[in-house]
Amino acid sequence: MTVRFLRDPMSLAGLGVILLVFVLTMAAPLLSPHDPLPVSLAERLQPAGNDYPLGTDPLGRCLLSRLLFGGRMTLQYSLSVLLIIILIGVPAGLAAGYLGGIVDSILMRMADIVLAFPNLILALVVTGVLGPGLINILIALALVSWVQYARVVRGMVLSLKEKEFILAARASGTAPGGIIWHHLLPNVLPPVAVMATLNLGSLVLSISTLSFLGLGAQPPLPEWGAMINEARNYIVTQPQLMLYPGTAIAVTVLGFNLLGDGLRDVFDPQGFTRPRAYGFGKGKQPVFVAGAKRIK
Amino acid sequence: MKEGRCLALIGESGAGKSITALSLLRIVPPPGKITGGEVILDNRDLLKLGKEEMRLVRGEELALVFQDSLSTFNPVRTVGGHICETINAHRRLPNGQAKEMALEKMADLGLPAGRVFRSFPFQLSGGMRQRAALAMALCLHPRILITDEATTSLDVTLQAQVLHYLKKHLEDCCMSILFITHDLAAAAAVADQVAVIYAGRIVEKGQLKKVFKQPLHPYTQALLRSHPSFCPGTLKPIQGSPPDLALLPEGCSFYPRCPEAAGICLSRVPEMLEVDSGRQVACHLVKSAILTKGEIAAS
Amino acid sequence: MTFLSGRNLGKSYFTSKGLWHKEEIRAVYDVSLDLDLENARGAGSRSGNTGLVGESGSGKSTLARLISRLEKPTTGSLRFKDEAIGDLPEKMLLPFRRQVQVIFQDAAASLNPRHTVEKILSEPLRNFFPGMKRKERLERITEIMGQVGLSPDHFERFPHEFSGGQKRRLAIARAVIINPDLLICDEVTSGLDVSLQGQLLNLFLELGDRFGVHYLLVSHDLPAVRYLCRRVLVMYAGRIVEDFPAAEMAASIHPYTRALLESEPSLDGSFSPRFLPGEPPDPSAYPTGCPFHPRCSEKKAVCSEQAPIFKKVADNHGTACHLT
Repeated sequence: MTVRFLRDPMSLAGLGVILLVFVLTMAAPLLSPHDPLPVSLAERLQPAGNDYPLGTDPLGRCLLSRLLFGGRMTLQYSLSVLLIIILIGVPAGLAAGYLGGIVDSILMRMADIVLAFPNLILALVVTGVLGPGLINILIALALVSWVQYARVVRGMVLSLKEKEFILAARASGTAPGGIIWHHLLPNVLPPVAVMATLNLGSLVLSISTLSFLGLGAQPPLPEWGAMINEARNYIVTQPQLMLYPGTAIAVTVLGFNLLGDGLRDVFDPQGFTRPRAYGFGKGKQPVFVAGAKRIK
Repeated sequence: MKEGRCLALIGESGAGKSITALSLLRIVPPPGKITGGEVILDNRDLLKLGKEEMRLVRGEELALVFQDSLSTFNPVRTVGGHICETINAHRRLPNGQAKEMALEKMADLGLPAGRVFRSFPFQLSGGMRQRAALAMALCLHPRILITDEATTSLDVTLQAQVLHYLKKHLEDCCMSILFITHDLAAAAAVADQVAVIYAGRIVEKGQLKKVFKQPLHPYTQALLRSHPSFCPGTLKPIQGSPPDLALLPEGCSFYPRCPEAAGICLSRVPEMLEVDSGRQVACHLVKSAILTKGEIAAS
Repeated sequence: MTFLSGRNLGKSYFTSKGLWHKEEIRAVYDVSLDLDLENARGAGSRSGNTGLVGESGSGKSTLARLISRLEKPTTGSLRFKDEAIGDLPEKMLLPFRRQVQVIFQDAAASLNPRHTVEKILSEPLRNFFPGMKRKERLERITEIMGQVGLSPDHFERFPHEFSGGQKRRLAIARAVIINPDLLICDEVTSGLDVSLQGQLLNLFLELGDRFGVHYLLVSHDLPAVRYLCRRVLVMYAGRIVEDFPAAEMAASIHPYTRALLESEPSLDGSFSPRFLPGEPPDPSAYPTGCPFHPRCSEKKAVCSEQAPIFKKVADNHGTACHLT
């Protein structure tokens, strides 16, 4: 299955972009030529040159350094949010789907309430209440995003629960905990991984959006969205100030999306099952098993 | 195939039974292709007909019934709608007349015609649905009806119903049936001729009663020995599974599973040999047995 | 002490019709049966094997799931060696599961697609023999794979790498690896090629001889039941209507059993076009009285008024019909 992944140029490109972004941003302290924080008005709006590879911003800070450190911030927080929502969403979905009954009703009504509002608006409200700050948008985003995972996992568990291999496991004496751990989870995780990869792109966007609106990273901390916000006043005279972080966001999101699409095919245990020619195999309809169809 | 007769085509799954049926109708799904041969219906080679001519042949002269009657019907249309559509595709009839034809056909098949006509496919039980599919295939009085595993998934009682009506139709309206199945007993119930297919080739052909009573090809013998109602003692099923059609063995395709395979079977494909009137077998062993018998008789 | 016995077992499902109204679907209705394996010991290879036949929708699969305790009965009691197990929670069922195993019709669906053969086959071993070491487990797995006719060095493979017949053997291996006394087989030979079906039936017989496994073969395939079983239970509309020895098919009394036997085509082509008219009844609205009376050719007035009681007519023969 790795071979299949490596043969697909698009997913390879996605993987390459993501690796590059990760290496560059995580190694920011080593790579960046300057400290991204101190203000020096004398050096403001320097053009790109030897000293400042991408020039400086209106407060005289090195744009490249801020870009690298900003990316680090964005990625760290996106990954943290993702981790939190998976840790909440997947168990919630498993519990709702497997236990059913009152647990299911409570969890799913909560999910319905959250889903009734647009995600970003709800996150705005939560940050509004909690006050601006990166930790707060992290909480806000986690609060509004876990429900998607819970819903998807619950749906998968409901259909898996009816599968005969779950019945067979019960007949083999496997306890409910073992069924969840050995049978449900391994079948649920791959689609969740695909979903998470695709979701990471939109989380990068959400964090940048909230920072752009001034709710996330507070000055002088560098963050891509916040950097675009700071560049607003110079959009006509110094468009590159906005262009650099904007491109960085776009490339990262694209990378995650390509990677997610590639993973989707990889995680199917039977490979991409081609439709069988009619007549070979009794009564079975051709099945296209790709994670995508199950997720959407 | 002769008029008014029923030929059973039997074999394991993957032997090429269904593809034979689809080839006759020229609806082989891609990437499949008919690579050679001819299909002769009343002195016309169907493979040489134009697309439009072929469309008219389908339904009017050749009709097909599938195993899975639920997916034969479009779930959002009534059964009656389907049948009328089939009729109208071939004959321009005033609306009422097509409905009348459909109702008549359904009543012929023992269905409560009025109710079934208005029903959606999922509202019918499996047996009724299969008979409705049969009604759709029969509504234009085709010359040849091809049933592809049409009774396989049904319960014995429902299977008996379908078999009964098939047999009745065969007698009433001068029609031929190609009955494709892997169920030997069902084949025995309706067919008078039988062709046994293995790995895409017909290996034995003849009158059903004779073939089942005294099978000549080792595959036919083995197939019959696998059936619980044919041998009451201990079953002696064929070992192994049918070959992959992409990797057929050289020579006779059955030799890897054949208990009596000899040297010649490994290298040469056996040709069809007429052993009796209408009785054909493709097997080296049968051929040599007949030859020796002939020699003894001659001497 | 009876191995497994059910008294007045019933299972109903409820579907909501409209906002307030609920419809009851009685899949299994007032079924009593005893499966006695002790008497069958040493009495020939097929004895102790029971067939459960009936049309689809007759409740035979539901009954199989009830007595394998994959479903809880709504009414009645289920006893395993004199212990009531109808209401036991899952973890108390281990001793029962250790001796009663199930295999399902769709072997492919009953194998977790993400588990290797080793993982699939060691699951029951881990659960029932927690003390077993990995090496012992592997030995047992290799042994059982050989016994069901699979190549023992395939235990690294995933289910989708096997053919349909091999998947069935794998499912059988998982069930017999712990040496159960009773194996409940739900339609395992349906829809298979004759050759494959023959191979499986012989495998069942062989395993029965070697390990003393007994079978409850749930099937609508009469020849298979006759081949493997000594006793036949016939189900209709959620009830057992006849219980008789397989060797005495001709002695069956219930009109439904007879119709079932007559609608089976025979290989010599002497199929008489006699068949049962009508359709199986709707489980949400069974006819009053005997559920079979609308399709019965010999019905009397009492049949539509009173449900017949299951009576013994001989030592090993019982039926629920007013005509007897």
